[in-house]
Amino acid sequence: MSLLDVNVNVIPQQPTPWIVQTGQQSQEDVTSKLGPGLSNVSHFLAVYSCKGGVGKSTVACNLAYELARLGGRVGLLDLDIYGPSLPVLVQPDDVAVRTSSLGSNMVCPIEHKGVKLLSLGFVSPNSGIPGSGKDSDAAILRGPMAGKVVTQLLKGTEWGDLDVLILDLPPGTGDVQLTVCQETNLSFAVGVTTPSKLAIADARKGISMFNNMGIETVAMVENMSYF
Amino acid sequence: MSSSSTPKEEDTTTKNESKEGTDTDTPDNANAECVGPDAAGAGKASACDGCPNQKACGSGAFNNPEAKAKALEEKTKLKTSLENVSHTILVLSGKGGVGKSTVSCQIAHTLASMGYAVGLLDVDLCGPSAPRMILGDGYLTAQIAQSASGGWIPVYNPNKPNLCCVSISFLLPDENRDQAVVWRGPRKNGLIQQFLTQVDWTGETDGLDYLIIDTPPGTSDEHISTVQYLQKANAVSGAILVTTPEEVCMADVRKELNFCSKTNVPVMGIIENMGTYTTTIDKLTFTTTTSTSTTNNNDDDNQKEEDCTQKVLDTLRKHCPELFTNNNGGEMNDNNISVSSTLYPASGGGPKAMATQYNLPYWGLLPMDPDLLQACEHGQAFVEERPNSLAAKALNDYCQKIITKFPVEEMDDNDQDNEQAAS
Repeated sequence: MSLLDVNVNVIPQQPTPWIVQTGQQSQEDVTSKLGPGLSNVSHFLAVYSCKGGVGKSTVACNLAYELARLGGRVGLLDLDIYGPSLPVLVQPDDVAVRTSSLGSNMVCPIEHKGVKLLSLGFVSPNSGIPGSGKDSDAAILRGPMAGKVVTQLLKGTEWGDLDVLILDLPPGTGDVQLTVCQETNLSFAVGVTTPSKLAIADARKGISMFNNMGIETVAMVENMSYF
Repeated sequence: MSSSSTPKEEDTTTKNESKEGTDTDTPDNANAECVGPDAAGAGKASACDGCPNQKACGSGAFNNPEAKAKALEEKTKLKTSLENVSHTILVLSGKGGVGKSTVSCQIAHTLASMGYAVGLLDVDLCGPSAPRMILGDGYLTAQIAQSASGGWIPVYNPNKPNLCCVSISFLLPDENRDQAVVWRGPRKNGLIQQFLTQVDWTGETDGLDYLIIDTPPGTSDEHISTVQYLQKANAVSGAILVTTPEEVCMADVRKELNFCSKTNVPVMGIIENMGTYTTTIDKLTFTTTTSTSTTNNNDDDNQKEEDCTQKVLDTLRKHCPELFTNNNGGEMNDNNISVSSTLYPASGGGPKAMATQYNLPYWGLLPMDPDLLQACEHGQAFVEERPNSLAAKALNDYCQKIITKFPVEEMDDNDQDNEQAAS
């Protein structure tokens, strides 16, 4: 039995509380809301920390590749649109983000060593999205635009059949986090923190935020506690 | 690298000269490159895409007398609120966790120790770190008070009436300090506007010599709003960028430099943080790892770790006693022998090369010192706790650069006597 088999049994199959509260009772409703790009993704896992620089991207990336090594079909979406780290952490040979035939303005993620990847850092600057591409200008975006970019990366991508799509969130508790929680049905969340009182204070805020949205933090990773 | 991402040469003016008729009149929640509601392309320019004011600007809604009067009133409030603040310095990065709050709060502490009147404005609304760094555990029960005229009074360090702080933390009830502030951009914009128009910085020092602004990571609402409001009051002195040496961080800092270039924020210098880890020998631990397996398998399950710190320190004391004495020959208790190690290897020449590339001053290394983190967690001025440490020397150096570039006029004795007679 692989690790993924165990996890699938643990995750509840009924809709999470926020979906019920918004009146979406059925799986068909949820699929219709997610769109064709996301409808064959079984689970969404958010890796978060309200504090910056604690190692979210490092944990998310390593988690993705470890789950793939265990036999899972895994996707990794870097949602830090202001500072995309994925193109630095993972350097695929072929970084072209190609168009998808699934719908207009839809793209296919990059595949590298068994994991499907997408980051604003991989998207061509010709897309017109601020901050796209390698060594690009800053993504100087207010919340509403940031939310649109996040929605485009999530739903405008043909993710295909995935057991889990890992969402590497940026620091903070603002527009990006709200958009993710409202546009997808997160299965659960993993928090990352360092031992410092400052990071732990922010980690508590993150747990509080996800709890309020009906999403359980199933694990907290303590990073950088020794050197 | 495109020319648009390379900032202009260092601005030598003490306050930012705002562009005529453009960002001085930007509506609330406008995009960073707003052309201004009076411009010919208002609502139609590419910079208007996604802006909540796009439709209003396109229809000329901001050109009516009421809207103009409101904009003027807001500009007046900003100028009035900041008129007794001599210099405003932003601390930026783009990347999270590089030490923006550490640098901004310790610079505030150091300037206050030198006798200057300093305020720390924390615009990180989601993860405010500054309150603890300025006040220690006392921040948990501190609250912003209101003056008789309705202005917000900052929270002052109990031991230093010349050091104060404003943060969203002080607006939350004590029992809800752990509560997440989950706000979309327009609401964050509203609070930042209040911070910059309603806070009364007078205190016992009759205003501030320096207002240091601690920012969150990224280039989003908090950054755009703070810069736009400050520029309406012509109150941006400069920005300090903080980075760590690895490429993941420097990629984000380049974006922040691009932000500064596009928003005309002069960059004073780049600080390289946490490149090296510095401590003293007595704080090191030494561990031996031995294999417990009978085979040659060296995986983690067959390895046993044993602490041998005392044995190593005793051996060093016996054979190298000079490592444990200070310059006067006494026992080491003032930590004058440091041990350093590279924590983050510099990528492509590191921050120093990046500063050269962008024609910006490189302000040097701030080493990662565990005692510096302790001072931050307890709200202490590190330069007072460990004055001879490398990190304290770096902090003093940064403050000297700030007061050299933005000097504060000293009152002479006649002015002080006149003020006392008038009161």
